[in-house]
Amino acid sequence: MVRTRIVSLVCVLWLFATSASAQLSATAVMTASSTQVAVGDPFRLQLEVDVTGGNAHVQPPDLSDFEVVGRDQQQSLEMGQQLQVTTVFSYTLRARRSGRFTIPAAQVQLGSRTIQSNTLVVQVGASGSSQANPSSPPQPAVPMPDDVKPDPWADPGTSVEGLNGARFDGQAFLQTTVDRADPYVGQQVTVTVYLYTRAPLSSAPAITQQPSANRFWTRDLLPQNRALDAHVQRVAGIPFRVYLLLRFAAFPLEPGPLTIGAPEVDVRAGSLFDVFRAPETLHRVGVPVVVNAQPLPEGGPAQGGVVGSYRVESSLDRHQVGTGDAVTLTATVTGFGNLSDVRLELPPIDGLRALAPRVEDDIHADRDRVGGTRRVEWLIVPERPGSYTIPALGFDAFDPEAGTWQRVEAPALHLVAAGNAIAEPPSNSPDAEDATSPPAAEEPIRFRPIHVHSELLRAQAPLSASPAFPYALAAPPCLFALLGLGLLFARRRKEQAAEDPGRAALKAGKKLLDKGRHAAKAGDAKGVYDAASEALLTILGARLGESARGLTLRQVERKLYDLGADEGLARRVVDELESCDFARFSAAGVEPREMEQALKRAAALMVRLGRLTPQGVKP
Amino acid sequence: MTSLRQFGLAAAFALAALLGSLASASAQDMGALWNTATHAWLAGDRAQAIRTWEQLREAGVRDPDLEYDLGTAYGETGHLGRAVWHFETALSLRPGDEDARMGLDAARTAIGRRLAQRRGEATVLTRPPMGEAMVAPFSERLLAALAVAFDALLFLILVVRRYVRGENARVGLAVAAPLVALLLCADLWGLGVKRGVFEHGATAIVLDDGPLFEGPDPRAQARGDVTEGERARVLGAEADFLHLELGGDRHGWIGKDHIGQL
Repeated sequence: MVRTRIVSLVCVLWLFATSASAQLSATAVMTASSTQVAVGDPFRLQLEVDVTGGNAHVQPPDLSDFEVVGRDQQQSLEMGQQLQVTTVFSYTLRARRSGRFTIPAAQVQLGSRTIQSNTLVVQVGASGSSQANPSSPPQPAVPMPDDVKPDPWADPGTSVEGLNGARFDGQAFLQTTVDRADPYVGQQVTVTVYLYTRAPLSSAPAITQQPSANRFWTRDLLPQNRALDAHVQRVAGIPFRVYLLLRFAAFPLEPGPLTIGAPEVDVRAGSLFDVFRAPETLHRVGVPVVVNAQPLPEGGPAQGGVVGSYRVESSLDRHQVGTGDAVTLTATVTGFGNLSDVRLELPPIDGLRALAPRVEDDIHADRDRVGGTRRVEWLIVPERPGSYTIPALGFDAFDPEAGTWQRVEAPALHLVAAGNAIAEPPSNSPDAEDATSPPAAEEPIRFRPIHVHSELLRAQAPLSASPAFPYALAAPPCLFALLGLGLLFARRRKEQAAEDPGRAALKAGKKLLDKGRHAAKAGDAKGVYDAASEALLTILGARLGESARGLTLRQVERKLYDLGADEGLARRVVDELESCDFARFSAAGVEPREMEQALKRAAALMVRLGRLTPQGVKP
Repeated sequence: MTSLRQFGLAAAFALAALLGSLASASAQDMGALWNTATHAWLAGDRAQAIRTWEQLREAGVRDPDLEYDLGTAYGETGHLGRAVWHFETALSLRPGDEDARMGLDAARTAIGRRLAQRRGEATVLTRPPMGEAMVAPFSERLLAALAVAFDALLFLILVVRRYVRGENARVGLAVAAPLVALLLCADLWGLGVKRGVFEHGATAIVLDDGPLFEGPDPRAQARGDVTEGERARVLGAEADFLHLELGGDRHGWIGKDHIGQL
């Protein structure tokens, strides 16, 4: 209730705000679900009145010729730059008697002006004589009783009157229409598929199943690249956006009921900016549409008749020619229809030899009508001198608009050949097994003798197609790249060693200690202490930047202080060097435990010396 | 254990002997067929000779001498499209085969004469497209082997140049490297031409005159005709028909029996 008041208030304010600039206008359109009905059969009449910028009085049409079995009225508002009020009057009518009835125009009173709708002519036949609507689906829509209003929201798939070739759905549905339901065989039927959606599309719809058109020759009528525009149309009083999805020409190839299959489409509808309803993907299936192809009427050829409107022109590139010289006969068929059905036959002419024709087509669609040009060229060789008449080239065509057969042909042509008669060419039989002698009229061809020896090689796959070939090609550059990487790595290592001598010395010291451990296992005390002493001197040399072997222990200690070593480290290094010198000659130094301890101490001191940061240098 | 091993060895020897004898028998059969065909040809029995050579072909033999003989046989019996096909095949298997080249020229000349007699005038394409003509003297195997060799040589030069000390040697290798790279590119291009990498579809020869249809169906509308010995590109196949592209921007379908693919 509150919501209704708010909406009313908004409308009043909006009307007030726009009344100064409002321009009163209206349109009225009257449509019927069928204009060919039988006595007693109900049909639907709909009058849609759009009024912009004000109020209007609608005077419905006079329906006294029919029995009104139901009526309905729906109104909707739409706010654009101006307020638009759409009123849909729906009537369910039933004809009382047969005949041709004109439903007069409805009138819309706009102030002092009167707007009129269109009129409708309804042909009423005897009871049971109504024809199916051309584009109706296999299960035609059944008119709704007046008291049962369609509720498409509650029941998707509900039939809606006036909507043929579709299965109604409140969110989105497909409609397939054909421009004629009973075409002749070979006559163009234009098939159009529309997509109806409530919400705007957020992306282009994906057609997952094209409408099948078996027993038709088809051609697309829409350009490959086009914008998908929509117009708004009301269905059952609900405004839908209608998109043109597909349009193609279908030419029936045989008489009888032929079905255009149901298309299927995935639609992503909704706006990204709609906070209440996010875009969703919908899958929709259309309905198949049946056309009843009529056989071509009597009066045409037994077979090969063509449907459409055409004209034929023919020409020779030369009208005088020597015998044995070829002339080109060109016939051009232009018009509307399925040009690929057109057959032009050149009858045999005594004294002229015609080669198989060359056919070129230029088929296009002009305003949804398929047509174009078919060009047929024959090479004609006069075999004897004389004057020849090339008969009129043409064919029988059925014009569906006029409903008559007519002969379409170009005028006859004349050709004069001069010279001597030429010999009949040899027949060139393709049967290789039987024809083992050269054609009699040809000069013998000289070939070299056959080869009597052969290695009888077997078929071999190309070397470049073998799986190993790409690897063989890739191997050298890969090896080269690996070599380059290896060299780069080695250079980097070398550069690193040059930048940090301590690391190399540490490595060398560790090797010496390993040597010492082997000596310890062998009980070689001298070897153990020599290795420990040498390892310490090596790392000291690297840290001091000069050999430590020529220095006294006091000098070593002083230099370590200078380098930034604390008193404990310098003292321990000197003590260890001193104890190594002493242990070489002492009895206690031979003890395995003592040797092992010495090596461990040396290793620990090496690590500490390796980590020593010279003074003035940030770690 | 020892007896089991002996049994296995004996079985392996028996299998090898059986396979060897089968291969030998097959080779003997092939040789016998070849001799039969040759003798039939020399005795003037052309039909028998062609039948027997075709049997060898059906058995999987793709030999330049066999192709040459078939080309000669078909040429002399007036089937010039088939002759062109077999001579072309012989030349693709053994580029530079003078006999096959002369046979091909003779067959093409005869086709031109035949067309001129039939139509009053005729143009016959005697040379393949320029790219194919440039690589025609080289076999695919040679080009493939050269590609691998040039590839290895190029990178070997680059490696050696790094270790060579002499200035002259370094300059020489610096000049050689781009030259070898150029040869490698040319060789790979030739290989691509041989394999038809730059073209749509395989190369084929029209074997017999016939109609070119709009669709893969003998009831389809004829779009024109094809002439024996014409070169074509096979764009596709459907049922017993091939979709061809021919000179003069002609497209259409023709029965497989009318086409020999190279």
